[in-house]
Amino acid sequence: MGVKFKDIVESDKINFKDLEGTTIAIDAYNIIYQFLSSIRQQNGQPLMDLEGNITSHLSGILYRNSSIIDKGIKLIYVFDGESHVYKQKTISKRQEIRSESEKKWKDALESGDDDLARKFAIRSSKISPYILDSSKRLLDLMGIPYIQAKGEGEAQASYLVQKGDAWGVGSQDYDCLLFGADQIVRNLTLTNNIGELELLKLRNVLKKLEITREDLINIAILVGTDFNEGVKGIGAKKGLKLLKDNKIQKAIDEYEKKSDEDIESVKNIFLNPYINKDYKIKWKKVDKDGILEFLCEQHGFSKERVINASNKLKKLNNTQKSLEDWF
Amino acid sequence: MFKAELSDSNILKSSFDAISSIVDEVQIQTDSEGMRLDALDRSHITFVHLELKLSLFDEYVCDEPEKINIDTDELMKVLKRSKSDDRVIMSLEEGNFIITFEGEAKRQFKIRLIDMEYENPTPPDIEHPTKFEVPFSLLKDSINDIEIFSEKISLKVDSEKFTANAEGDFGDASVEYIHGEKIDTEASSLFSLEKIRQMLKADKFSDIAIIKLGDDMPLNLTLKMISEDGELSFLLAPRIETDD
Repeated sequence: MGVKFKDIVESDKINFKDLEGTTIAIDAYNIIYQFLSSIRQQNGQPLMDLEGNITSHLSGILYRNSSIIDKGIKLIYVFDGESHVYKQKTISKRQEIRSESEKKWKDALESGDDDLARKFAIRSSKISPYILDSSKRLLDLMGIPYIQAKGEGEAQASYLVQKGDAWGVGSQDYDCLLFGADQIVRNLTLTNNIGELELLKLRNVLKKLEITREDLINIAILVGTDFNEGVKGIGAKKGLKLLKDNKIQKAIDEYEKKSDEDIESVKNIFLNPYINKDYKIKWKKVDKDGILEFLCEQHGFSKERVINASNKLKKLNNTQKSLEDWF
Repeated sequence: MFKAELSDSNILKSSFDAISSIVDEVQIQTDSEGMRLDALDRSHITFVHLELKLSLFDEYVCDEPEKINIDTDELMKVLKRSKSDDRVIMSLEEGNFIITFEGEAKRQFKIRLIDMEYENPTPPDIEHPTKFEVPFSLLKDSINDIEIFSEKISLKVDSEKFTANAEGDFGDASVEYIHGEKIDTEASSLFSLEKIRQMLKADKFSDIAIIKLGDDMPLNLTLKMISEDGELSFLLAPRIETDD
């Protein structure tokens, strides 16, 4: 998912300590999907309550967020609105992969191959209306605000950063660079501390490559984004070289001629995204009893662990300010 | 050319003990008037400013302004190796910051300069309602007292005394000090103990700490040498507590 920029974009390794006192806008779909894929049993079965409802996402939202908040970081979740028509191809491709993986997962389960089952199970994760509703419900109880984007969640989250409502975006994708987020934090919500925290600074990325954001978008278009196919055989490195050799416009023109895609509109998705500008961010008190009722009574979570996690959420109301407030 | 010689290595060691715990990378700027540094930690909670004036150095040469970009951990590792009666000489040579300790032996370290974008931060302009002095050692002791019960410290001042206190789940602690200064108002703010501890690592810089406090405002802490040749100051954003 997202544009493949790993080869040309360098990130800084950071610690949780560096993020204390900041507010991070979380790309909700990206992160919930990550919870659904990674929080599973050995054979790939997602966590479920007694009635068979998936609870992997709820587990991620509660435990992961509370440990982030415990480190003095504030969170705002941003949910996708309508996806752009150009994303349709990407979406149907993902659906195809999902249903195919689901079949293979079940086959593997039958043949008793747990490793294979897990592999395909991860790929079959999908965000259903139940997943969305229950995620929002839990965020609400936890006192974590969420915003409904009009279009892409990443675009909205990047806008929050530009407006100063958040310091950075928490996402695994590089797309937020294209949407103009100044700071992107990767691996923030990973469970089990698999990956190190990484910080991407748009300004530094552009400065290092000696290019503009529009140049970066042009490279992305050749590499392929969620909104266009891209050109086979052009990766981030090659795209950058074309740019440096002043051949990128030519490459884009050729690409446009061969495909039926309107490149100007794709660029526009990144430069002038569809944004919900009328949003309110309100931090609420933690509803501890509500969390217990929802997770323990309705979804069979262990009471002790849930109480433990909700106690960490107190930090939300008790925060380290940043000097920014006095500038 | 840049060369600066100090007879007391503790000044640098002490300053960077604090600075390196706050920021990973800094830019030291040198010109004909001396050395200075401004830095802001990643989450913009602490601002630190160091100034070492020309008059502080036994020898000081700086033909043209230099920008020394350095990894504070690497610098600190070297500075830790200084002995208290060592002289220390700083200079620059093709991408290296050179530190020489002269004592019984002459020991030289070359620290690679780093390639980075550095925007010299300017601190916010804040008018504090109170300003007073307390002995540095008292401040350091207070931190250790408060730490027993809490990770937060409340600093208060009124016309008579300066108070540091904390309320924890398992107990409370408070330290009072009669400041003997003319203060006609009250002020109090809450801070992270850990952040204050980082600043107070600079314990050989000055015997006196100058504190400026307001209500729910950043703390301004300045360590000034008696000779006024050097200054290390900090601005720390407060914590704000709302009721549960």
